[in-house]
Amino acid sequence: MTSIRVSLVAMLIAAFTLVSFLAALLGYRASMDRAEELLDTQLRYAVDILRYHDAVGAEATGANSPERQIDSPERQIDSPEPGADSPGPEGDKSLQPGEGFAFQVWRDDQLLQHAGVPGSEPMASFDAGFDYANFGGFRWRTLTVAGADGTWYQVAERADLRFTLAERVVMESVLPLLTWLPVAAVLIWFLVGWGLAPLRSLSQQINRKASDDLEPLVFPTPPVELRPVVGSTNALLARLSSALQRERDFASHAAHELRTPISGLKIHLHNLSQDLSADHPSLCHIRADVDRMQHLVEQLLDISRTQPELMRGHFATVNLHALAERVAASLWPLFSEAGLSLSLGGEDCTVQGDEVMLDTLLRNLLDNARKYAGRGSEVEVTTGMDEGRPCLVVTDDGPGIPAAERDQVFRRFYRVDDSSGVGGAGLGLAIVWQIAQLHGAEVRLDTPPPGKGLAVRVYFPVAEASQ
Amino acid sequence: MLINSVILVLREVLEAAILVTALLALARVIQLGFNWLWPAAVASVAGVIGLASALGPLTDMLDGTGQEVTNAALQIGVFFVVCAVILDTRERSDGRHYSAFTGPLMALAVALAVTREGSEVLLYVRGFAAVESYRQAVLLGSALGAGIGVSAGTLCYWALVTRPGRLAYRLCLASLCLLGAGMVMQGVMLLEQAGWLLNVDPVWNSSWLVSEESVTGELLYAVLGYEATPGRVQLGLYLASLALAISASIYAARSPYRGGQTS
Repeated sequence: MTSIRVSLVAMLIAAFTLVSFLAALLGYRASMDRAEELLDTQLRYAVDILRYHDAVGAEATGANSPERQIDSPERQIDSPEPGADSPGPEGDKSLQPGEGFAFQVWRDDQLLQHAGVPGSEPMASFDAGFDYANFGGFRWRTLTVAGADGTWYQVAERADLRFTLAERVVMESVLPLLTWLPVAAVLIWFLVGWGLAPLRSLSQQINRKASDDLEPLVFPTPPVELRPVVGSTNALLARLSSALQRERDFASHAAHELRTPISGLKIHLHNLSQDLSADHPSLCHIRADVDRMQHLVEQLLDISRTQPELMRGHFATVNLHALAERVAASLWPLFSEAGLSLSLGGEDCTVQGDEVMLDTLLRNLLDNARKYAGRGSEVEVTTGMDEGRPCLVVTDDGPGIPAAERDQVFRRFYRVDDSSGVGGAGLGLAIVWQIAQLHGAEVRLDTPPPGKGLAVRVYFPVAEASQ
Repeated sequence: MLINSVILVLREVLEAAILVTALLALARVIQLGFNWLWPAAVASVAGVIGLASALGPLTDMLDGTGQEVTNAALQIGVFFVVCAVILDTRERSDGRHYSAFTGPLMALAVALAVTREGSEVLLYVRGFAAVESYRQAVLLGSALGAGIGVSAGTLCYWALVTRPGRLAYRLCLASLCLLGAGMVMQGVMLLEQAGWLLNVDPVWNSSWLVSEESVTGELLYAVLGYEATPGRVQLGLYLASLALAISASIYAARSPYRGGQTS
């Protein structure tokens, strides 16, 4: 199961990270390009200073010594050492390649001045402009400028050091992107949650709906994306409601329309029995078939009427024991005629339910027991509290139902394969199951303690009156 | 330094991230689940640390070509495991697209790929981060590179799994074919560096279009094994591996039982 929220948050964080990091890299490259321009400009200034220094020095001394070294501008500016000796003709050793700056002044292939680099070879070729060169164990950015009288000025700055400061400055601006990413993730998580609130609300509203609640969803101003869903769901609910109403009407009309001809048939059978002998074989067969048809019609109507989608139960507090007493009394003649004993036990207990439906439930259970337990069996109805819940139990000592089939006997038209020859449509326990569902009750089948027969236990939810 | 770190880490992370996400997407599409990720993660961490620690002795092996040969073996190993994964996703009679071996095979492919790429990143970061002046740039660049790689992988994953079932399955297989063949290409290049194969007579030179040194070239190398001047042997092995992977994919996609849902 995937969560829309988790998916959206993951995608948004990934997209945000990708775009912001790429933007940061582009910004970094642009900043470094700009920094390189500035640093190159500094190299130009250094060459200008060098040329100026060279010109002033030449005027002051009146001659150019063939090779002399001078202090670097940096040393004179950054590291003034009061009382320090002036550099001798062999050069100032304080400006080393490791300091990151070097220069040379060449004229007619002769080195006039240099610093920060051994003077044997030119730092770069004598082509005017910027370039990169490797010497002294480092990579350098070089600038070569042609002066007057065949003089070449070369200045160089270590490539690895020249960007250090610039890179540090740029990185300080990129770093917050990384450190604030978790904050962005948390923010995205909550924002997506808020954005999905209407969907959650719709889902909760549908979840809360009872199975028989076909009223339209209440969503006064649904978002554009949910409008079709709400519209379609409400249209579906309306169609469903209409279809169920038609089915309710059909069940009601069918009950009347089917019962009337069956009653007519029975009257005509009674009339026929006056003309024919009472034990005429054809008459007996027709009477049995009509009884079976009447029973089947009643069961079909029961199962239609008790569908949770159709049923609108009129729940009230019902005393199960009193109900069982009434039903048992009404069915006792049938049991007696079939040679079975029927007894009632237990105590008063109340449930919230529809009395007519509960009457049908118990009648079906007892009808089943009467049919399948067999002549001479004992059937007992018990009511009372069991496992802290109101419970109705119908027990018989007949052949029972094999454990493997107990889950299936609640299916409509399912019949246990037996050789008793008992007629039936396989609807009795299906009706029991439906009515139990309507009442939120649980139905269990087991074998009663002697190890023979069948016990059907119906556990009802605790009713307020019985608490 | 920062940009170098980004490119190096991104190159390694992107390759592993795309492979892992293609396998993750395939696992989701065939409804395998993600239980195999745990052993894959443990094996990957162990592999990265193990290979990074043993790289010194490894490099000295085989006349100094041990590292290249090991990395090439890992790359080519990933390709064969990926082919096995593809074959193992054929549809069975019960509608499933996986067997008891699919998860372990995916875990093995991930572990091999992450070991190869992760050890490179670990060595790089550990080496340069030890230098005070480089530390911030390397760590920041690595984080940016890893972030971009993982984000790209995540978006690829969602792009794959949000396609309709059968199309998602085919796209996953196509991604794995290209990634697998790219790994073979990289492995072949490593063997050339080690002198085990000769790169003669370049079939073409596409440097004018995409230079290997450019950022695009680096990323194409990472994902598809891009080479601007491929030799005949390189090209032949690349095409052969691509053909093998595609054949496995066709076999898997056209397996006898076509009725099952793939998502």
